Amino acid sequence: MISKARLSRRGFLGGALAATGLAIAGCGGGEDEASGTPQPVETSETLPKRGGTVHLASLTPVLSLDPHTTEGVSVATYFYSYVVHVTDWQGNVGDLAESWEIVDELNWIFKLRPGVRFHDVPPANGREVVAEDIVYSIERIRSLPGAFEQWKDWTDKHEAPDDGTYIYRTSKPYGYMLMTLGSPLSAIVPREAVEEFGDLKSHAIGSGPFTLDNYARDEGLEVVRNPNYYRPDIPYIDGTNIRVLPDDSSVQVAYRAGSIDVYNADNKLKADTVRDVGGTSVRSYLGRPYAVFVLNAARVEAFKDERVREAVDIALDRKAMIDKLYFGGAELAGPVGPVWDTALPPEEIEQAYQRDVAKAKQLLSAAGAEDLRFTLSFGNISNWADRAAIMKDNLAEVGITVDLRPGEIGSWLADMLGGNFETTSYSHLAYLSDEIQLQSHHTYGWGRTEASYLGIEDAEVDSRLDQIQETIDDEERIRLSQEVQRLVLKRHGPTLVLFQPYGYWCAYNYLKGYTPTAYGFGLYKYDYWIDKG
Amino acid sequence: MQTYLLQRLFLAAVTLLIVVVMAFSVLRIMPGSAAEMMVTEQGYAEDVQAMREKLGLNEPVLSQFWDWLSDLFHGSLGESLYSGKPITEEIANRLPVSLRLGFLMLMTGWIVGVPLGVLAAVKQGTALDEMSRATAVFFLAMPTFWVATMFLVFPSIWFGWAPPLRSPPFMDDPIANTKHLIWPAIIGGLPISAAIVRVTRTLMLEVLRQDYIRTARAKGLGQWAVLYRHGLRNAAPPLVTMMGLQVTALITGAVILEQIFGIPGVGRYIIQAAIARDYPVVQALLLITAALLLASNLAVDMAYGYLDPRIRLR
Repeated sequence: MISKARLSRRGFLGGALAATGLAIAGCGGGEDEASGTPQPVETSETLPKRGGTVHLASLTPVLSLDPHTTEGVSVATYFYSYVVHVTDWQGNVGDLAESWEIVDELNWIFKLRPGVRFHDVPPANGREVVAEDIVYSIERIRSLPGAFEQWKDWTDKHEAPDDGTYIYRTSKPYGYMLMTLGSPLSAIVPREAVEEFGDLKSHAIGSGPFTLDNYARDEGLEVVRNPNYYRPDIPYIDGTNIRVLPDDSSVQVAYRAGSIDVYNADNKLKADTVRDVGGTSVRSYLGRPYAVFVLNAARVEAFKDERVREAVDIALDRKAMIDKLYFGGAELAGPVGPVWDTALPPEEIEQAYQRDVAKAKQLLSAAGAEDLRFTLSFGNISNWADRAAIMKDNLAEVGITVDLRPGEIGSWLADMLGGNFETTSYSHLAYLSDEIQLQSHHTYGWGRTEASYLGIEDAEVDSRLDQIQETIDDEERIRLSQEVQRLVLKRHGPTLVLFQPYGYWCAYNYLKGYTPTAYGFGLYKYDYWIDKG
Repeated sequence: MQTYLLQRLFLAAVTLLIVVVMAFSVLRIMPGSAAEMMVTEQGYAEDVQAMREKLGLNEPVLSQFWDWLSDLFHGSLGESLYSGKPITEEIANRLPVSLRLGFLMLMTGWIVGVPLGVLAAVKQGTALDEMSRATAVFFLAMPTFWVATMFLVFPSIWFGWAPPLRSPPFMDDPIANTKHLIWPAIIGGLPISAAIVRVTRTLMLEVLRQDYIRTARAKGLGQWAVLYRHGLRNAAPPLVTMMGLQVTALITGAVILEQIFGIPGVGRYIIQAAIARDYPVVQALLLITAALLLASNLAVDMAYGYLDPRIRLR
């Protein structure tokens, strides 16, 4: 069987895309690069101003507008409302839901905000959003092939007893309920739009802050302010234009010429190319992609031995990778990346990742694996080849021979999905909660596939991860999460997390009121404005 | 002439058949398929097997080939695996953009190339001649992607200027639309003009040494009349056939320039389709491109045969 989700399918591509630079739409606190101090939400001296259009660039075509598919989700938050909004990596505020309560850990009752309307275009024609729309939207997500796994696994039933009440009953307690409802993939769509158009690939009729003006998948899209948005003054801007550009240098050129207002660089060196452009601020944020090294024990028997995995793990020089590949612009990442509040303290991660060549050699010798040799497969995009080369050198120092196996992204992906690799390294994509990253350390992956993808079963880790998913209380979940992370670190794989790089948000100073994040101006944050004086 | 024409048509048909087979098989030989690419994106199928089933990729290859061939004979290029739209529709949306770009490239090539070539011939051995030849060699030697990249990067650094990112449809605003295409057209047209400069110069030098030119001058005709009516007109036929051979340069140039300048034409479409393993689209575009090249080469052969009886009699 071709396994589908030990390593999240969406994560593969998302990571690849982010590595190549999509990132128009994620999270993480902004940090002023110049001062190095944490950047709070902008405290502009000017009051918000209405008007103006923000011009952005995307390095990949906007393949679809369907918010329930990965390819359309990057722009979904412009058009759609959600039951709740995720304000940072783990916080929620109501959007369509004005309030909610949890009854007996299984029933979530959401009271909806009255007067929220769909865009005033056919076929919705500005009608009010009701609870039945949420039922329909969640059902649509569940019915799509390869759907958002959480909805399939955790739904018992959900219903709309009246227009203003939505009740969701989970099959067992589910701690990530609000994160799932607040995911950009959980957009609320009007049934009549799907029925009329067949799909939502080229149409966007939601109840969000912007309406679609025009869209061409190879060229980009233009959105304009929704005058009937339920927050009367929001958004402040008149609209946003997103242009598809072929590569980073084209985006840099467009930024220098003032054709776009923001350049979202994925490393310091790229940010430096526009740093000297007049009126530019460069601010960093922890990006969504995080690098991993995956050991496939189903192909290399030696990886079943924890000593061998440990040897590989402590042979890797993560800091050298950060310095050489990102010029210092990345953080060491544990089983859960540093953007989440469940992450282990940095000093603990640093301690766990101490490189020790002598010990690695001893471990290999003890395991009888002195002549260990394997291939390292990777997609030939971004700096993945450079990363693989550093890993090869690191491992050579402890006597491990690595044969690099670069592949065009399509062929690498095919190998990856088929489990046809001995080891691989790529950039995975972080989501709104730590659930997917944490649960990807489960023997059967976060989507709980039928087979162990990487040939290593660990009942202890698995049962603890199951327990975390079923924990509603935030504080308890954090405690349990950190415990299992320590356990995963001791197991040394089969998925070794390496680091999480910063992104660099280069923007003209006339853009005000935003916090730079990997999701652009901030996920679900629409109160930024343009002030050209 | 008829035999010559039939021979050429037969060869073109055989070549096209080989292209049809290659266009079909090359993508399938490559590792990775549209199924894997598409299944990584939510909302298409449950897993790779289901995706392959949905796309008809589980059918025997010969059966897939036959289906495609029979669709072709019925005038259908199939549907894009990604958009689900007919490929003819997808191409029809993009073709006008590429045609306008190609036309502007050709215009640039000819408007710059012919006069400069004539001038270089007339001023043979002077600094002007040397300079035009050196410039021609420069533009022939420099890869289009490099010139285009330099053109984008340096003006943005020096002057904060960049060509427009997009334009309104031609029918809405022809001027703004042309402004969007003019820079890539110039960059793509310069190598064409370089080739034309060299050929025009050589042809004109040959023609200008002919007796009838001396006679024309002896009759007291002015320089312009000698060059245009007696010189260029006699040098023109090989130049016209050369235009047919430039279709290749136009197609390859369009693929590169459309990508670099973000122009939504057929060239950019073929790159995106190839990356996404959108087999039917790539197959269709390969086929169309090959057919276009064959047609232009056939036209050139015909023109040669018509202009030079030695060729058709050989």
